[in-house]
Amino acid sequence: MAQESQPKHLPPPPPKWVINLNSPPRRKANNTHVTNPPGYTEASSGKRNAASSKTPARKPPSTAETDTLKLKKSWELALAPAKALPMNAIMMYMSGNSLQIFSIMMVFMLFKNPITGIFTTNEVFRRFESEGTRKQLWVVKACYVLMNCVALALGVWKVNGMGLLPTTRSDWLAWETERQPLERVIFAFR
Amino acid sequence: MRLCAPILLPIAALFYASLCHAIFADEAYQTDSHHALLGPPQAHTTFFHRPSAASKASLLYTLSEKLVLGAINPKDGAVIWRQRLADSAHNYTTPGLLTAGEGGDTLVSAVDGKVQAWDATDGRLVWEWDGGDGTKVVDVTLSAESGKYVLVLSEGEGSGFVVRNLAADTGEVFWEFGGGSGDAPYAVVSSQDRIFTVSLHSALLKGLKIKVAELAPSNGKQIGQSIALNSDSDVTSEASILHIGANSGQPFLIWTDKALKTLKVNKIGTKQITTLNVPSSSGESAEKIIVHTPRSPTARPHFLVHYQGVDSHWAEVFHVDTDIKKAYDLPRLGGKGAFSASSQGSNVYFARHTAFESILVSSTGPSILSHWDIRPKSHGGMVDPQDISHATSEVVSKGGSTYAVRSALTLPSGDWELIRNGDPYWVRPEGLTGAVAAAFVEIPKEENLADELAAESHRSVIAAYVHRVKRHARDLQHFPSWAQTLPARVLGSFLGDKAGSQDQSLRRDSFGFHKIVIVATENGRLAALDGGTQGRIIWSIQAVTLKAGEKWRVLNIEAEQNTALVRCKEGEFLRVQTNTGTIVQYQPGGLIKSLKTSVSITDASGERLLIPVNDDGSIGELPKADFEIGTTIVTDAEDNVVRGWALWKGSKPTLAWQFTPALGETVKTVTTRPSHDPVASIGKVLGDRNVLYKYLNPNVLLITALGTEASTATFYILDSASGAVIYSATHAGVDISLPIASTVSENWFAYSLFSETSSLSQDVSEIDQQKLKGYQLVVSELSESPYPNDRGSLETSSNYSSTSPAFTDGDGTYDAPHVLSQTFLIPGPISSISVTSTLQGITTRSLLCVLPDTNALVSISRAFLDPRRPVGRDATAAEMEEGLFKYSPMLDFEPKWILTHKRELMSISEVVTSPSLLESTSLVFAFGDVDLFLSRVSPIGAFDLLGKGFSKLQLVLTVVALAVGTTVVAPFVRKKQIDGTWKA
Repeated sequence: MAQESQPKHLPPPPPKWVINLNSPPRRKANNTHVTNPPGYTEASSGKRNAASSKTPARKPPSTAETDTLKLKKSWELALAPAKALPMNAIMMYMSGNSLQIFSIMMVFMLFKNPITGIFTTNEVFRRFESEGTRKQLWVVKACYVLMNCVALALGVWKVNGMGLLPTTRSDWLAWETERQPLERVIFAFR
Repeated sequence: MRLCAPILLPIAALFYASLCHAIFADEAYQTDSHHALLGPPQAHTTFFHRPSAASKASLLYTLSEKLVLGAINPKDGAVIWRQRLADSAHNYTTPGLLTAGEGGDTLVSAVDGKVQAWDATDGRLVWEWDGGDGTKVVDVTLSAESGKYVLVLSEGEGSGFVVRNLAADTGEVFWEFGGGSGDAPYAVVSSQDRIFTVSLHSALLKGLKIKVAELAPSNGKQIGQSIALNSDSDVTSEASILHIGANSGQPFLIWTDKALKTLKVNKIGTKQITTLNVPSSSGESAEKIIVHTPRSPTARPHFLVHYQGVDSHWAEVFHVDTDIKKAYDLPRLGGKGAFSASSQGSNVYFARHTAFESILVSSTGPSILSHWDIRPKSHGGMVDPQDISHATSEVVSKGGSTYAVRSALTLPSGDWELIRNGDPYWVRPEGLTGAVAAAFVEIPKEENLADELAAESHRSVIAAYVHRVKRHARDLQHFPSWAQTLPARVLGSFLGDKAGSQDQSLRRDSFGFHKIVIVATENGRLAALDGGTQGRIIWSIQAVTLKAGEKWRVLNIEAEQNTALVRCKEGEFLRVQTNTGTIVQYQPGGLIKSLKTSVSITDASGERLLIPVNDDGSIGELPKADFEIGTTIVTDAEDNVVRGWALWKGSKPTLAWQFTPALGETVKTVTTRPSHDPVASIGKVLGDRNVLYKYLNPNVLLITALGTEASTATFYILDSASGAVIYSATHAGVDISLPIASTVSENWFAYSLFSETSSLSQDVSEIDQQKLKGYQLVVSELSESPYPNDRGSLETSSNYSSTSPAFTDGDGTYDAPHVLSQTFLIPGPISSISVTSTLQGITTRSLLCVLPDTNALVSISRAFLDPRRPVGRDATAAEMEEGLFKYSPMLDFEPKWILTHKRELMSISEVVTSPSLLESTSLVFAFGDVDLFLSRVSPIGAFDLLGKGFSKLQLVLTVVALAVGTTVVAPFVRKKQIDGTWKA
């Protein structure tokens, strides 16, 4: 125990494999004396073939272009819930109005997705956000929320079809009271 | 969906059919109990008799005061068979006659103008002779020569009387003899080969002369002149004739004078009269003289005369030979006694039953053959052997000096007890016949927990703590007994209790099935039946003493805290402790003239007042009190008028309204909703989730009015606060002599009657009209509006008034409820309809109908009687969801609805119900002129109770097996998981 607690005792040198692992051999760039396998065209040596290739060299996109692209992409995302609507509608129609484990799960998903979508609107569109797009993006967001609301409406329609919404008179019957007569009658024939 | 409908409909119907059961096979005889009674036996129609010549054991036969003819097994007191000879609806005055020939296998009974022969073994009717209305059979005798003929003496046809000779096996009339105009027939006597008729002829001045005429057995012609006996100085009425020795080898006639000082004996067929003095040695004179003779014609002609004084009784035994000789005396004993004569072969025995002892003597000498000491109150103190009314005995000599004696004693309470060799054997509570009112009451709590807790809340913390510790310490005294019963209880609950170990103690059970039923009978008795233990009688008392022929007119019985209030006519009332039967308070009736009844009312300050109601339907003197606005009393009087009295308009009650039925109609019954009639939902949810609001008015009144001449029946629904007729329905072609029953509950009413089945039958011929008649059950439902989701003109207002103009339409009328009716044809009459009552009224109600034709009690679920059942088409999906199915006019009583299953209820007139603590179950008690029946009913199944098929043992075994399995498998699984982690 005394030995172990000896401060001067140095730890053993790390094994070789650890050193190898920690310092991998440096990759030699462009080992020119090794010929490329046939059919391999080196990308880095493009400059040499640039004249021969048809495509012109790609310019880095401008900010305006990126913004348009971003907007386009965000629109696609905003309309995605609407695209799922017909499929959902058919599924809901097919699953019937009875209360079963499958229909209940489907209805649950139908509610869960739009609601989480609405709450995470900002996160969803954050990567498209930039100085240029910020002004147009709120329209996209509004559209996204609207689409989710439509999906939600489908869920509500389904729940209504299942009779789970307290929309009818009978749902409120328990809160209605019996009409009490003001007169009290005592029967004296028995 | 349309495709599904034909498949779904039978399923829905099956669903409903399975719901609407009444009783399961394994519940029968477990949850219900039945007192199959006969009524108090009569002295002259009760005897031991061998049912056929071949049988060794004899049965006990009686024709009771209720005119129920029955055979009882003397071994256990069980009814072998019984027949009611009187229609319970009709009043009967005749006591009835019953004879049985020695060795014959039939019994012959006579009631009014009807003579019937019954198979003694199984009680089947062999033949019947009906003299028609107005005829009254005075005497029935089996001919002495081998009982081949039945001699029937009747009056009421013409001026005199008629003797008929009927064949005993077919009832065919062989000959008739009419005679003695102006004479009152008394008896017909058959002796060996001679037939005599005995009639009473009014003497010139006063008294009655006994006239004896002899008839030829072959053709019924009179032989010689009739003999008139000089009895006119003694006999003033039939009651003076003590005995007529019909069916004995030596027929003789015994009568007495008015002062009961002498006995006159005449051998029938001679003019000779022997006079015997009534002994009155120790200064006490006889009040009543009864003659006992053996029934058998082969027995020696010995008879015993029983003298009953005020405080003591004594007897003399006589022998009839060439002359009448006194053989010996039986000593005077205090109290009342009962004698009975029995014979075996030619030997005659007399048994004497007193409060002190029972003895057996032979007719030949005064030596006591057997003697049994005083017996204590038997059958748990229920039977008091004092003052035996009458007795019948059977003596069998076992050779030597040992005798087996069975005696059936009728006690003054009406109970019937059999003692064998002095030991009590069984008792039948025949005194409980003639029940007129009944009610369920709660079993009083031994220590009222609520009171104890209330006491604690009023003390300081420390005092309350001490009180609670004390209470718990006191509770510990029950612990040993509780711990003792615990293993048996646990075992019983696992192995399925066989109901054998029923709790005999009077304690409430957790389901509320255990209640007391208080029954009042017309002869002034009150009894309590234990609803938990097969209807055991807890106590039975003579609550009031009535004059002979008087009936106790009980109006109703109300349950109170620990007591029951029995209200009778003329203001008489009685308060009785429910668990002990001690009368706490008694107020005799008739104190105020023309008082019909009194009702209790709480006034504005919460004080209870008794309001007297007079015979003519008016209200008597009012105590000074303030009544809430709108307090109205409804009375009905004998004059066919129903009146409503407003109490709040000043100091005197003012007539608010009166209801008189249409011309020619008389009010038959007035019905209200039951006092416990909770409504769980104020509307009915339709298939499309809309609501049809029920018309719920606690003041609703159903009046049945019958038109005697037009044979109509009209049913009026009244709002009894204003007296307005809400609805009325008239039925034509009603047979008003057949039972008409009605009930009203919740927002519906139902009635049953026999009438034309269609109102369109006026065009068809008379014969077809008869065919179109039938028994009907009509069910009507009242709703606030015909439209769903509509509450009428009052809309959402939480109060309404039927009298105040603020709540009516401008013209003073208010919206009448919408009524939907449906008629069902039923296979037989219903004499009474009641409704099941549950704690909260959530369970669909059932109609409890008494079927007098089949002596059954049937429970018809309201689901079958819904007036909204679609007519002429199959139910739509929405209607099916509501539980409606296609209407069919015929409603057959399914056997599984019958609550009484194999039991036969005789003469049931009324059914009372009470809720149990389980919402699904209602307690039912049916009573009437003869029988008592106690059961419980779950209209839509016992949904809140584990069924008998539920095996607790299986449940526990499953849990144990799972636990064992888990503990065994757990190490393996753990090992596997660790291994899996290492391998990954």
